[in-house]
Amino acid sequence: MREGLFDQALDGHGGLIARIVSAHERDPALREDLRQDVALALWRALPGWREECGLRTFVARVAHNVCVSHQRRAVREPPRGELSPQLDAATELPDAVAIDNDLRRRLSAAVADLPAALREVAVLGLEGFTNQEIVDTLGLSSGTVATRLSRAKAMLRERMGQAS
Amino acid sequence: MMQDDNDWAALQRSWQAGQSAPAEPAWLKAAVRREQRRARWEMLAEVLISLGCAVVLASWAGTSRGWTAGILWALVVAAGISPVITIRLRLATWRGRGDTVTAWRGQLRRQARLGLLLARLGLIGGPLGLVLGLALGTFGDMSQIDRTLAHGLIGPVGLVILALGWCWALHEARRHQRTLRTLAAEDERDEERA
Repeated sequence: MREGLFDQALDGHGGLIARIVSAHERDPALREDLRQDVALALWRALPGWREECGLRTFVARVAHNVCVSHQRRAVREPPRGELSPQLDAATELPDAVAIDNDLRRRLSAAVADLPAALREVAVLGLEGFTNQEIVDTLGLSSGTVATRLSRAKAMLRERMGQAS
Repeated sequence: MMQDDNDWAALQRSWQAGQSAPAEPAWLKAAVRREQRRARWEMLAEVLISLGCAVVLASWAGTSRGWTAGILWALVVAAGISPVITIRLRLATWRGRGDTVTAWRGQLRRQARLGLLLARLGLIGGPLGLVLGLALGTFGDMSQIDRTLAHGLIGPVGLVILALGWCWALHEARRHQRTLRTLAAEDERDEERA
């Protein structure tokens, strides 16, 4: 039962975990550790999932909680301008793909630069969570979520505009 | 407004298309299963070592007399029930839900406290066992063979094993103390923010 659910969570929401983790930790080595911590936490927490929320929300909640508990590592300032090998390859790709990768890289950097309180809301918003799902995931009031999301959107637009 | 919505939708698409690592989560599953296997092996090793100790102590108790036999039988009981208690405690700390930040931190804190307690017991228990073994071997009413065996076990090899175990317990205690300090700092930071 737990095995199947765990596989389902990782197969279906592995990308969500990776993106939440990458928003909180930019050091690639620490990011891998953090992903592993999230997977372990998920394994432990899954028996407690009562389907009061969707599996995606539950996975995001656990990932977020683990990331918050790793803030000490997450706040460590990473070297600026560092590109992952995947993104480095963009220079050799066709123009459209290179532009996409550039946009993604700038967006990643802009999200990582947001204050923690706005970043956690922004990440879930970018993942396509509704306000109610963000409320369920973070345990904040709906008013707080709406305010923070609006501020995060404004800051992201401004930073993306400046960077382009 | 419409333009803002379009911008946001474009950012969402770009974000969701991005991956910081391959989507294949096989290595994560493997890592979790490796961690489970490690925990199982640790528990099994603990049980086997405790049972081994209990068997040796019981054989000595059977050939000893008076207060020596009493102490040895008490140690047999302690060696027999200690893994049951520690495994139950460990399983209890693993059963948290961890689906809120507070619950998750509480779970980590309980695990660290238990780890610290067990490590401290190991730090005290090792030297205590050495002193007790030497005292029983020297003053106890044991058969000559058992006395020789007891001294042999506390010989150079025994001391090396004890020293390694003690260093490991010290390392574990420090690791758990660091975890507890980190959690306390996070709680303080949250309180300041609130």
